[in-house]
Amino acid sequence: MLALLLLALPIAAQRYTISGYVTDAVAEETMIGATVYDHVSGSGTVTNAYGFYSLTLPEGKVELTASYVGYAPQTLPLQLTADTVVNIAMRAHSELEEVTIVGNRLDLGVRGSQMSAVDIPVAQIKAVPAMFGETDVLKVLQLLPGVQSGTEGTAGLYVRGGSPDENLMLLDGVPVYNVNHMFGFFSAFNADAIKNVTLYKGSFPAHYAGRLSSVVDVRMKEGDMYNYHGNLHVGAVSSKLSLEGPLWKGKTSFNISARRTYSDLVTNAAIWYMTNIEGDDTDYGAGYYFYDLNVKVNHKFSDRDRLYLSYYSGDDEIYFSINEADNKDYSRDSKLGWKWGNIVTAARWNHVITPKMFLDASVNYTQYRHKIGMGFDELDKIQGKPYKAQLDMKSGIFDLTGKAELHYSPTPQHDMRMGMAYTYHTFRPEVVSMSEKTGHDTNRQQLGQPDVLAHETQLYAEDNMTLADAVKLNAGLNYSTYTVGGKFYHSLEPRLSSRLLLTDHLSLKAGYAYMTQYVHMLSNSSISLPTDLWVPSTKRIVPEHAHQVAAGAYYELEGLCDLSVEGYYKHMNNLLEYREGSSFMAGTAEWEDKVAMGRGWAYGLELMAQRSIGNFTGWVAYTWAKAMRQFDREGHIINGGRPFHAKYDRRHDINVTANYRFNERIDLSATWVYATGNCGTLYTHYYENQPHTPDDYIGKLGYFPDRNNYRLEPYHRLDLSVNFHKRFRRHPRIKRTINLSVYNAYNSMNPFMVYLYDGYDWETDRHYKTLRKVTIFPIIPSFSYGVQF
Amino acid sequence: MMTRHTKNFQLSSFNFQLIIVLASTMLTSCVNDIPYDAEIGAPKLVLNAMLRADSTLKATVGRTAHFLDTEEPQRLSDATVTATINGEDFTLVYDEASESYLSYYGLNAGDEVTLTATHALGTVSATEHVMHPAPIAVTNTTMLPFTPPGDPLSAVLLNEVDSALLVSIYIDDPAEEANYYRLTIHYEGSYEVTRPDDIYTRGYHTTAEAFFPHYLFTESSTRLLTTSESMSQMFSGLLYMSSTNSFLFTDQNLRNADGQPIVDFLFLLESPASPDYNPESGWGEGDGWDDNYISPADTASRATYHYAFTLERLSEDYYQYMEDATAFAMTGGAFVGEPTPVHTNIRGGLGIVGSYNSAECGGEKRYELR
Repeated sequence: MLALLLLALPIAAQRYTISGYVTDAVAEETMIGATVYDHVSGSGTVTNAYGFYSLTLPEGKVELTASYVGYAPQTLPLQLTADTVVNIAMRAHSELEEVTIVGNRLDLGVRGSQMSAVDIPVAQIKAVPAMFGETDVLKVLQLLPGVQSGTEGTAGLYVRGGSPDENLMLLDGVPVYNVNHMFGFFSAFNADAIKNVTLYKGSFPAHYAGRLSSVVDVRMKEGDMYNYHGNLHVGAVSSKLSLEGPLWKGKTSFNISARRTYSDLVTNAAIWYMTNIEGDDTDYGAGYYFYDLNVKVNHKFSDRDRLYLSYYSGDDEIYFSINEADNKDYSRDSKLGWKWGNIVTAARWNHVITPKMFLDASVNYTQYRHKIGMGFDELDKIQGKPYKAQLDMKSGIFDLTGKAELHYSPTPQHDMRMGMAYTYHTFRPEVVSMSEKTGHDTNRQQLGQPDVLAHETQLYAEDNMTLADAVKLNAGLNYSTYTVGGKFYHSLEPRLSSRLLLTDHLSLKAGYAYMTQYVHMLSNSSISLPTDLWVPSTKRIVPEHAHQVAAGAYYELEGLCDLSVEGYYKHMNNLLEYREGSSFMAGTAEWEDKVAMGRGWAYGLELMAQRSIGNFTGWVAYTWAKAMRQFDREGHIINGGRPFHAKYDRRHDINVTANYRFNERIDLSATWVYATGNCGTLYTHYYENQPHTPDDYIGKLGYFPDRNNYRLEPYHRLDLSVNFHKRFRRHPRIKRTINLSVYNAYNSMNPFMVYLYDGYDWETDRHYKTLRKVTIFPIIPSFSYGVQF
Repeated sequence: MMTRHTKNFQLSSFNFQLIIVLASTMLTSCVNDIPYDAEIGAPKLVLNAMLRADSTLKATVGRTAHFLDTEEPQRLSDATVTATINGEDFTLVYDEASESYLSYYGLNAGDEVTLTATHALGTVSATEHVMHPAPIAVTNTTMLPFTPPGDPLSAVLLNEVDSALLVSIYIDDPAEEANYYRLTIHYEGSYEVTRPDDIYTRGYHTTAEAFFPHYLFTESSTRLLTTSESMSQMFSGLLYMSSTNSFLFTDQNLRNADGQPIVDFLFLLESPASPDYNPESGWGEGDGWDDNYISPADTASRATYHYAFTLERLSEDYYQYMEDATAFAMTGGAFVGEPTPVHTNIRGGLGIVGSYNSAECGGEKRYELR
């Protein structure tokens, strides 16, 4: 009897864990989302954001293969008899050196449970033709289905009917609040400093929280552990320099990237020349510039412990200055400046606790600050006392966060993440500070609203489960709390993403996510400015929420391309819009009185065909989408409580991106975009007002039937780019690249803004009125030169 | 709460930002006409009238102009306008001189008036009640000594203020219903001074007007003046700070700490003494006369401050209309602000049939200068 019972019981094989890092063989740069697969058991996993993997397999023969696009697959046969650390170094496949790939990670493609997500290699970002030759991460994301751009040329992302403040922008896991340079024409991400970009449009894993519409997860390069490399790029608008290499070979590496525009150098040179011609002794200065600085240091204590330190700083500044010096005894400096920018810093420790358990702990700090200032500095040596005065208006948001996360992979069927985070927020709505210094006497005064402090916590857990060969499920829960001004908010957010594999090349997916957002950005609906302000939820202004469901099908035409079709429905609550009649001319004091809360809904269908292997790569994406808003709560009425189109409700969106690599020396890229026009409010009729007294007459009043009643004409554009690469004969390690590109190649006159023009036709001797559009980016050729070593 | 200085700084900083963006845009832009393909639609009728007790009825009827029309919105002389006043019908007669429709029936407070205008473009109508006034009375005037709060900003901005005139007014606001008001303030001051060799009486506007003309308080302003340590603190209890002479408010802002509809106004009075006294000329800045200043050599006599309040009690529709129309004027057609629909109570059309009634009070205060 006992023998029969023993025979009936399955014989439990011993299981051991293989774990380690997947890195680039030359630079030892960790690889995110690399596939590690055992051909014997049929089990596999992917590396996490730090290149770590863990795979628990039966004892015995193992045939481990690591693969990553652009790299030759690495196969390691071994006999598994104990927990084993296997660090895999992968070599770039020279024939595929410039190949681009989108969405081919195991967890994102046909076989993965994650849907509504796209992984974008930096090589792809750099291959896409760009305005002024400036490669831009966010501009490439705008070419994906479900992602729409805002105003012409700007880097704003409108993802599945959401607004730009509903996107969580992460740089090495740290939120970046304002990602715009030059009023949104360029983003804050320097492509030379970046290793990987992943966009989530829905079905957000539980470890992401805080925004309604998307997560853009950007990871910085760590730097080559063994060799020094660099990249110098000189373009029409800016220049970039990147350097990476070892500080301690095999142990510590660094990566520094810097970028700066130089239009202010040109304007100041021109001003200097003009004033010198006129013999004016006064020095004038004026200009605009922006810069980015990315620094990362990575130290490997051992196979189990790594430390990362990262730093980002980026600012924009517009300034005017006058320096008067009548003689050596007297000088006076005046300066008017407008400056805005971010600082993002992080210290991260990775520790392999056990082969199955990986710890990621970090402390990070992020700030966005904005300042308009006027300064005056006078030195009169005869009179004696120097005089200095400064008047500044400042605002900003400052976050300090501590976070710890465990990755636990007990079996190949379960890949779990658990974590907690605490953030201390400081919101500085608007402060005016004045100081006056005469000699040694200083007077200082500060006016404005006090800082608003908020505490946010998060607890989350998720499990990426393989329920059967055909069924995968990622289920998670995020619980967050938010305390501000004595008010406590909390939210329990379920997340679900599932995949049903019908064949090896065809899968169906479905997902659901509930998201909560505790911070809001106040932004003018007409134009985005750096003074767009981040404000917290308060007693009156409650957090925003969103439910999103999505479903899709994914098909891999092997050796040819990947096809996907995805539909979604999103419902959002407690959205903010400025009230009707609000003016921004009085600043953002008492902002709660100026906003209304309402709801929105968006739904759409996204189709995509992408090719990511071979010399010809790219994608075609089409989106049909609709986004609506309704503000009908008492005291929060907009548009009479009737539904209205969201400002960036664009019905059709088509993006075609193609890259062709002729050979090592030449590659060509093209992008064509077409989108239905944005919406705006147009007063269709004017009428006489009723003055209270003759002195009250304010002219005509305007009438419009509905908010956002007018739709601009469709937007379309073709961009072309060609790269010429060459290696220097005497120094084959050094490669130079000449890029010629044309933005808006057929000179499409796309509208940046529309206004009513009142003109006079001298030929017919009559007045006329017409709508006029302003196009700011006609055909723009550009040239850039880059050197890599 | 921001001072007028900081509000103006914000105002100018926002303008500065817009100038930069627009200049950048215009310098690199191309401009083209675009066709407007949407259906233009028929014009809408516009009916405007203001109902006041003890006055006759006057209404204008017009039509809207499409935004592409080069002609201004037109008034119509061929409409039929009738008024139903407390159930009795009257026909208004078109007056060419005023381009309006008139009835010589005298309106009384409390009358219910329905105006109807019929035209080939359609029929519009509105119903309104003629407003009763809300009497106001000055209950208290007190001269208060003023010492600038100790913070540096106050020392700079308020250094010429040496007294404050507190005026309390009582508004007979019916507590049982929501009420809407517009308050207008008129003020001027004058002073007499004895010069070493002559006597002059000069009229002048209170120089405080340039900085802080008036404030609306609902708690004791005396406490604020005597206990504040900084200008921010002093003005933290304010409901309004305005550089205009009139503002709209509702009865929600009227009650003071004791629940009484008494509101305080504070006029900060700057000394007319010149800070730039020239010992040689004995007068203000420069070598010549400066009518706005006295000098330490003068034997200053006294000043007289005149103030007058006009309180208009508005119908709810008219209050909303005025708020929206003011916001529309400020937002400049939705470029610097949000689109602004203007409230209307005209059924089938646009415009406003509003009503208001007014009450006044005022006085003067004589006080000795230092």
